[in-house]
Amino acid sequence: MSIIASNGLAIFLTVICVLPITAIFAYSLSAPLDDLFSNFGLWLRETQEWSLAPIETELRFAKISFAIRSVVIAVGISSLYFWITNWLNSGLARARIKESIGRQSAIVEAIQPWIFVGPALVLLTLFLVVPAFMTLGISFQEANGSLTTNNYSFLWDPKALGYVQFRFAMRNSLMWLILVPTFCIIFGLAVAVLADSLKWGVVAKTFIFVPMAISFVGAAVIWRNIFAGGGIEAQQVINGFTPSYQTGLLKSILGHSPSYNEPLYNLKFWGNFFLMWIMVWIKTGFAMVIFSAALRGVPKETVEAAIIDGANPWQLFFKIKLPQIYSTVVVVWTYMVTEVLKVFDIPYALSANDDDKLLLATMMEAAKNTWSIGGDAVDNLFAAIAIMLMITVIPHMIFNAWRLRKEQKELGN
Amino acid sequence: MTITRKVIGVAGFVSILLAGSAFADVCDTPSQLGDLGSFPGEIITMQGSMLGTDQEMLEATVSCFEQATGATVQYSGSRDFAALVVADLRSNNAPNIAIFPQPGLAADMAKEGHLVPLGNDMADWMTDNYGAGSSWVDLGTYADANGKKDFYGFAYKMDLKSLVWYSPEQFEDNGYEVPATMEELIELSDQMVSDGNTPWCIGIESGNATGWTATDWMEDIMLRTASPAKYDQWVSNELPFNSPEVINAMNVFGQFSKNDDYVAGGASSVATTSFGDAPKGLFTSPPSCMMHRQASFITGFFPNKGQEVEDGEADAFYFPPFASGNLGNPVLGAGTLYTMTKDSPATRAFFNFLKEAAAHEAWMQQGVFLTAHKGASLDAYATPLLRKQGQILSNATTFRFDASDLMPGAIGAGAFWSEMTAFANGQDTQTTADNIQAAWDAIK
Amino acid sequence: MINRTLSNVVLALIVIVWVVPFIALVATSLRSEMATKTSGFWTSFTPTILGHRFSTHDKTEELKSNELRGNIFKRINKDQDWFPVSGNVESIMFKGRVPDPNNPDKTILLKKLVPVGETMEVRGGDFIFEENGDFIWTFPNGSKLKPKKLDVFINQDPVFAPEAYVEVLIDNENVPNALISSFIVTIPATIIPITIAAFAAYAFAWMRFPGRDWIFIGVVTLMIVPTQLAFLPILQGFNGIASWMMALQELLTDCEATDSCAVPSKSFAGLWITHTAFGQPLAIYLLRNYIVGLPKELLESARIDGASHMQIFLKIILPLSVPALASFAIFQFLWIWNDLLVALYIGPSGSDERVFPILLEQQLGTFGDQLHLLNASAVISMIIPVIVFLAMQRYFIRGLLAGSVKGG
Repeated sequence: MSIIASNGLAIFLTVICVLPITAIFAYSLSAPLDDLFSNFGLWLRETQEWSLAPIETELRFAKISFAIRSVVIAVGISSLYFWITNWLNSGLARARIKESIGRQSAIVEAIQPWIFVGPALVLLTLFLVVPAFMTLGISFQEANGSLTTNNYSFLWDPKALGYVQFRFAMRNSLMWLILVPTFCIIFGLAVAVLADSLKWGVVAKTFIFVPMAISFVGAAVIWRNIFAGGGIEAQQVINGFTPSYQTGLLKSILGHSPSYNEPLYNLKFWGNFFLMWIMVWIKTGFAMVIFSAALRGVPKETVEAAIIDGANPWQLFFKIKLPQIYSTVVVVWTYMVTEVLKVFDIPYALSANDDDKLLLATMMEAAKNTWSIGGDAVDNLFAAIAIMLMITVIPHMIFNAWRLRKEQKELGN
Repeated sequence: MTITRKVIGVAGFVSILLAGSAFADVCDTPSQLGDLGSFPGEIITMQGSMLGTDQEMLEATVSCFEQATGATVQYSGSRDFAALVVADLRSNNAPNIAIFPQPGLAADMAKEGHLVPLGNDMADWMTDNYGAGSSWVDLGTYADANGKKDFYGFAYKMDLKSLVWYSPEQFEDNGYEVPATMEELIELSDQMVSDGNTPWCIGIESGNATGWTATDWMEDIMLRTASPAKYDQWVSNELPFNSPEVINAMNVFGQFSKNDDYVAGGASSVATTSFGDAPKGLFTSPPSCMMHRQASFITGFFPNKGQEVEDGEADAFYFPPFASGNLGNPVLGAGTLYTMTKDSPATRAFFNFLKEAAAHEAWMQQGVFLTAHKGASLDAYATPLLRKQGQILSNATTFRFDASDLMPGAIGAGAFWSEMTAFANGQDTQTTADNIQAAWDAIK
Repeated sequence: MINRTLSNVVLALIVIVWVVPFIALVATSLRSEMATKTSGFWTSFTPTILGHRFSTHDKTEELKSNELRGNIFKRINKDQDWFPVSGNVESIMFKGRVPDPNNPDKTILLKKLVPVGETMEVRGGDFIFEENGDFIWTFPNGSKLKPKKLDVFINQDPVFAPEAYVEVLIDNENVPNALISSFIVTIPATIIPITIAAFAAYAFAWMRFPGRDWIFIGVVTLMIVPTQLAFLPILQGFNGIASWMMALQELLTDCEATDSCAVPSKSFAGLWITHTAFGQPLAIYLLRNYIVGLPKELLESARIDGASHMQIFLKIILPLSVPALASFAIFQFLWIWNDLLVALYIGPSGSDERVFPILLEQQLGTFGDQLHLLNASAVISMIIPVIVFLAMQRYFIRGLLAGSVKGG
């Protein structure tokens, strides 16, 4: 037993020492490549007669070269890691157990999985697990390090910083949670069902699906054209009016005059629904794809039997198909719930600093950047809000773990 | 990355030589640039809030310094400058130079010990060489962490705010004359309304800074309804925000902004129209409004980026005082303050550069730039309009800095902005004034 | 089946709601600034009545006789490079002051829309114009006439031009810089996680070690953890590494002389490592599920032949896993390219190093009054991911479905 541990430790220590040094060396030695590439860029600029300033060209090519170098070095270090550990693993085993090949390979086999999962686990621990606990710790500290629960006082103290905002965030999150997953599922199911029965269904599905490729900010810009407006007012003259149009599509449909140029998503309270719609627009594609595949998995016999029994399309859907994809609906719903809890980009891009539209993630961002004029203590507040956000997703984590465990047991792996 | 930076430093020098010809026009100024020293390969980092055309002109002006000394200046501009620079100064990521648009924030940073004093010699120079120099020195003097006052902020590039933009041809068509007093201006506005025109375009939306345009209106009006001494007391809150003088000024502003007939789009559109969008109403077909009160930088937001001024389509007149007020010709303005946040010989040379008349003339020649530097030649102003504005600056009997820039950040970049936005949205004068006063009381 | 026409109609309605915003985006990006300010994008496809201002002649022009002939369209398009105006002239606005009948010493302003063919008085002369823009201005003898600017209303033909794209790509450095930055961040952060996760996935699939199942559950569940939870400590960590590297540099190089010692704590490298870490749960989940689905005989026969795990992994599994690797790569590429949150907190903030989503978010403010530029910038940010997405749709969908669909 201890041979496994000591071998493992030896491998670990070697890797810890060798890899960083190799990386530093690799970076330093390849640094001149940046200058070379920069000069190449300058040469290109001369011959192609770019209008870009020389210093800009250099910086750009240097950056690109640095990125390329980094990828090569990273892949190299990764390969080096696996090569060294493998070599050490079998080498050490062979060196220390001369008698039985069986025992040798047993030792190698025992260590090897850890070699394979090691880097991933280390990364995850360093970047997710440990920081999560550190944030928990920060949330219970003051700026000077003393322990306190003050950072959570926005939960109960009306005079605390963040009290009002948290209430808004909770109210809004609840609304988002109820509406966004519901409509994604409704639209997703609708399109999945309708498209599968029509010839142009594939094209339709692609249109619904494309928003998944664009960024949330891009979607915000897209819907700004629809939800925000403007235009010049008509002027009255003796024999008529000068032309005047409302430039926002929805505002025009709603009959808003051009000078009423407040974007629809800025309306008190009702503005939230427009922001929610943008998320529905993006995420319905996801629901649609999942449901489309699930519906195809419904056994044909059950469908045909029901048709023979005289079921109409509604009964067919609600009584036969839907129950059989019920677990898929649950999975989609839980995924959407987590996405809604974590959503940041849409409200941030279109309504940053508007308390009425706050969600937990934007509240955190405001805490870190906008409320920090008062002092540094706000980082601790940021941590406290982050923990609250974490708490809201814990149910999903538990559900997910339970589902995975059930799957593992079923497959008997 | 660091070796690259060394390369950039040297290559920067070379590239300036290569690209030097493009900037020759700008650096060819009536006054000659003195000897600033030689700093080949040195890099000076600068942070500010200037973007777009302003940034381009800054970088062109700065290239004269780069040519003369061989140093390289790297400027990084951002709308979120206030938050970014505070974070950087506190986390030891300071640039060499920070360009503050507001003395209030600079004073805060000086109190935290992040600024490097420029020295008494620099302050004495400014008193002698700037018009109303001692007020400019006062503007840049703050207390450090120990309460000792030093000169930190070098004012360079001023903004004239007491201007009303209009279209001369529209005035001609409609038979209007440029008003010389506030009473005439109000009469003119009423005349425009009865003619079926809309007198004013007012827009105060500006993202996180929504409301600053309204504060400019308030300040210009304060200078025309109360004495300069009262103005200073208002800034320091010796004169409470809800005292009669301030309430009166706010009501006068309300006369303009809350009047549906006066404002294009009605009073309710004031808070949702962006400050950059508002002046475009002067140039639509047909024009949505006849006049727009705004500082001199706004020409960059005209549809043709200010070409209208050269074509004679747009001009500005002085926002007039009340004839009955007997307060002379007050002028409201602002300016950017250059502070040293990380010392280095090259940075000191840059500040010597800012003292040179040539540095001011280089920017004057490019476009919108005003200065109180007495040595800068008036001929260097790029257009007649700018020369006119320069003269307004020098004919002023009172010059005051933008009040919201002088007040502490929580007020000047906080309550003042948000309460004036609420005021534009219909909140009454007394509540607005009381709320801002409450914000003052909270930070005392 | 559900009534066919009803299905078609409902689906068509849904598709319209989904597609119209894209049309708005592209149309707005191809219009002029004034056009985006004065009319909606849906009017830009058909002739619309819009106002323009033109001046009758140049200041420098010498007028020979009593008459000036010209063409309104030529005058408007004189300086117009990108969006030439064409169509039919409808009317011109006339403004003049006349005595007020009720108030003898006051005047009222008369505003009238003068139609085609009617004479109007301009600077004491007669002005008449046609539908095609030709105008004749007759004025009394001997007057030196200043040019007059007039507001004309034209039933304007649709015109689109890529001016916004030129301005945003060529006149301005922000968009090209953001494009490059996005590539620099995304490509390494897509490639590097694979090198680490593939091995781990194989181990979770076909190797036995204590706690394997529970660790796997833990790793996958980490996908749900909000990444903001980790930002503060990660930033502190990078701050520490940055100052350590600065100290190392001061020791080893002479950077103090050129004052180039500063090592930024928010950098591309930081983003790469962070995205590599954050991307592990999804990568391991996708790859492991895929590897588990491969025939076990492969593993068993190879083991009988004496192959080590490393050999099996590199020579057999990895090549077979290309579809799953492609799925993850697409996911990761799209996720990082479109990511705003992590880039905002951990990525570089310099104006030439911002990634595209950050730039676009700022442009919502700075380009608020230049909508054509905002939309053009958005289109540019979307071209790459949409092309990648459409080309590799199959892999993307496969990735989505992995593990989400339970058979019935």
